[in-house]
Amino acid sequence: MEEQLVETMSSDLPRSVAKGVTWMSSCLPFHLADRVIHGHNSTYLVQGEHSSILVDTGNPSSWPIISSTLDELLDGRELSYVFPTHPELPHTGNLPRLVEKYPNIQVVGDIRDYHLFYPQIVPNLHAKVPGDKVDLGGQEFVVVEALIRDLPNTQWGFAPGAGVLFTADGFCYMHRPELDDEDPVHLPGECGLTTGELQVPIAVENAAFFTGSALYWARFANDADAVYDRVLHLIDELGVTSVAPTHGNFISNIRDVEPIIRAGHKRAYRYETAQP
Amino acid sequence: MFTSLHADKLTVLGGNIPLDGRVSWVPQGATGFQPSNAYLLAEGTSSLLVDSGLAVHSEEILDDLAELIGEGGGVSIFFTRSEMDCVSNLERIAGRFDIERLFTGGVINPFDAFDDLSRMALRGRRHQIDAHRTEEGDSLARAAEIQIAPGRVLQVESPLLRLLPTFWGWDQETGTLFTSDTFTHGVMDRPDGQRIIDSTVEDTTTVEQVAGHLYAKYEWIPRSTCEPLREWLQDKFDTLDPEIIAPSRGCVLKGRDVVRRHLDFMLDALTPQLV
Ligand SMILES: [Fe+2]
Ligand SMILES: [Fe+2]
Ligand SMILES: [Zn+2]
Ligand SMILES: [Zn+2]
Repeated sequence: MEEQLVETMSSDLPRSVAKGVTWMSSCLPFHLADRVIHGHNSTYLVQGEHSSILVDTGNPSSWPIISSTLDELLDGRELSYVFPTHPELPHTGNLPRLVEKYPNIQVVGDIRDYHLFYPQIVPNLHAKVPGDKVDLGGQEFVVVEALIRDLPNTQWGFAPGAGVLFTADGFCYMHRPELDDEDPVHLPGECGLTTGELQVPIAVENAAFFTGSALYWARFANDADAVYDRVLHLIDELGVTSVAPTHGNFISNIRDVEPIIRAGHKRAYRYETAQP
Repeated sequence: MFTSLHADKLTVLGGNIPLDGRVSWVPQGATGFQPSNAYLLAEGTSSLLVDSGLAVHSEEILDDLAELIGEGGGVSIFFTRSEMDCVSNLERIAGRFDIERLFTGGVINPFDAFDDLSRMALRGRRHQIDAHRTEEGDSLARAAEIQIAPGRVLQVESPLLRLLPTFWGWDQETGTLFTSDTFTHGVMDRPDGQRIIDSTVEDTTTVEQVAGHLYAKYEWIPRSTCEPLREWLQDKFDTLDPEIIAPSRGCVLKGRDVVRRHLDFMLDALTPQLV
């Protein structure tokens, strides 16, 4: 297997996916023996009248693409906020570069641990808790508790004016039944499609395989129904119309996708009997 | 300041993390200081660094490394996880030393976090230790071996007890098991406290403390089926009979009695109804 880990931006992106929300994704191509597949590593820009917030930073290897896309979208304005969902490289790896480019940027979210990883950006760190809001001018960004997460300091976000819920590693999935890779992948040409536009829908086996690997704990915890019932409750309560994961296609039909992810999550559980 | 754990074969480097509410992987309300660890395995003139410590400690880690391997010296690095507490010094180390080989799992190449040309030059030095994944994605049976020097290897496997993709290392020569983000519960009252728990120090560890630290990061343990995890852990320790538990953070646990006591704490913590 040839290693060619440079991220590229599909010509279908950036793409506006809701009022004031732009999907900026870079794709990591994986060269397999007989085909090329892609893994999404998305960031989303939420723009208001006077301010903008970037949700997740992308991987450092995609910084040149992200930087020039921001120039294009912001059209001379500064980026005011960045919301890293959790401190893993694909989500936070460009924080130092963002602070260099926009010295006044506020890094908002659960910022525990960041002072240890990025001591140079401490003055830019602003802690937020679920319920806190950032005003962008005619557009708001609300911090939400992450109901599906890997790290304890993961947060989700919601843009009420656009109806978009940002779920980090939650709802990341691949949809090609014949692919067995554990990263949420798609084929070239599908980079900028929403789940409603995909020709081949997600299969439960794919969701199960991905969940069991990326959310490794799903194989030990037999509580998928409780988890996804809470997610559905949140979706109703907030009025979510679409879901924006970091990895995987933008989800335009969450009501159709949720039962498949839930079934996959259940199937990832490995043991017959639950603990007494 | 570094501390030798086994003659000139194993040294622990790193600084302390003040537990002041700004750290996510310790129980709420935890106080004191938690060591952050990088380990240097040495054999003759060869060395392998296990994890790279925290960026906030980079100056002391790099200065210590210079004292141990010589300014600009060659060193290989093994990351137990691609998480920031393990990898955040990579770029600084690459700037001052010669990274001969980098052993890491996953698809993200940590050298891609670097700016400019240096990352292209360094890419070829990366060895992906999980290139061959198992069908089930469970623990690999000693899948990989890292040669530190001829005749000295670090055996690497993916533990059943993990959160994100993780590798444990086993150095038979010193009897050391590198456990990454488990067995991280040893904290100190003072920054200059004893960062090694061995038979010479009073060990006040409790099972509640071990469980608190485990559940802070592995939030799912209390609601999970833990029997397979206990069995796996017991079997691992029976087979290897380690003399040292070397976690990425928290006090080093040294001496067979200490190791056995802390294994029992961990097995009880993995029986949530007991805690
Ligand atoms: Fe993650
Ligand atoms: Fe990811
Ligand atoms: Zn992620
Ligand atoms: Zn793509």
